[in-house]
Amino acid sequence: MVHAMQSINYLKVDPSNFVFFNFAGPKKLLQISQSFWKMTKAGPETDYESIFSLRVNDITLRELLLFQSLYVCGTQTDILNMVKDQPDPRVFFKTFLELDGTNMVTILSFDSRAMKVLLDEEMSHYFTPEYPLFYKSKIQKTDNKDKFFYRSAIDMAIENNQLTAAACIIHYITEFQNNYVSSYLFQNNLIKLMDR
Amino acid sequence: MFIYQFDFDEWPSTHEDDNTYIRAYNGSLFEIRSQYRNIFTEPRFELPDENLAQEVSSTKMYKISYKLNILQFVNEYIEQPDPEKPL
Repeated sequence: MVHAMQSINYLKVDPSNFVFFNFAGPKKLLQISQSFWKMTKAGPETDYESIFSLRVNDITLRELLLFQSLYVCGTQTDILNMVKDQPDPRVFFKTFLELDGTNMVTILSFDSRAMKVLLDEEMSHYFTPEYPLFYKSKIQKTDNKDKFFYRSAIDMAIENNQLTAAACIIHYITEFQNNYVSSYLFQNNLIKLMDR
Repeated sequence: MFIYQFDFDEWPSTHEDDNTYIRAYNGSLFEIRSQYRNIFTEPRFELPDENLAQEVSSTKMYKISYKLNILQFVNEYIEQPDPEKPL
């Protein structure tokens, strides 16, 4: 169904896009699409072109406990050790509605060491190029819990002066997410990146 | 990632001219589908008439590849300093 609520609008690449929730099947997909007029013999018909899709996962108790543990870590080294300790890194690549539609790899983009581990070439067999890993995320403001800001993992890495993390993310995007939709992640930060 | 390659049904897929042409486009990426004649305005690029398609020899036709360079969209909203405001 077409989603009419504005809470997920930040995922749109352009305001004219539509958000579809395909949650009926075993694969829960959140699709960003664009409508267009298709000329048929019977006349013009509305059709939709998919721009990108996100696979939304159900969170398990184990995953929930892991995320809770990451949030109570005292230092970045503790976070890194927890990341390294996981037998299956796919938990960091999954999109969850509980994380406001983002994934842990985006949230951890403030730490270069964690990004180096998670986006290493050795992890490439865990990557699923049909679903983007990096897209715009909705983040709650710390001083006002009712307000949000919207950033990508690259923005967060630059903001925290983690250029190694930014380089890892850009490498991932060019290798596994190399399509025109990803160019929107660089719309407001390319000059900043070049300045660094 | 800054090259958007597309193949729309609304745009002609073949032409007898095999040269490369570059055109400017300032509209939305998501509206380009309907903008063919506004981008390629010359008479030689007009949409082929399906009824006349049989009359042209297919040996002279070349496949067209459309690419849009979207690097220009990046940082398009840079705020310019107000010239009347003192530095």
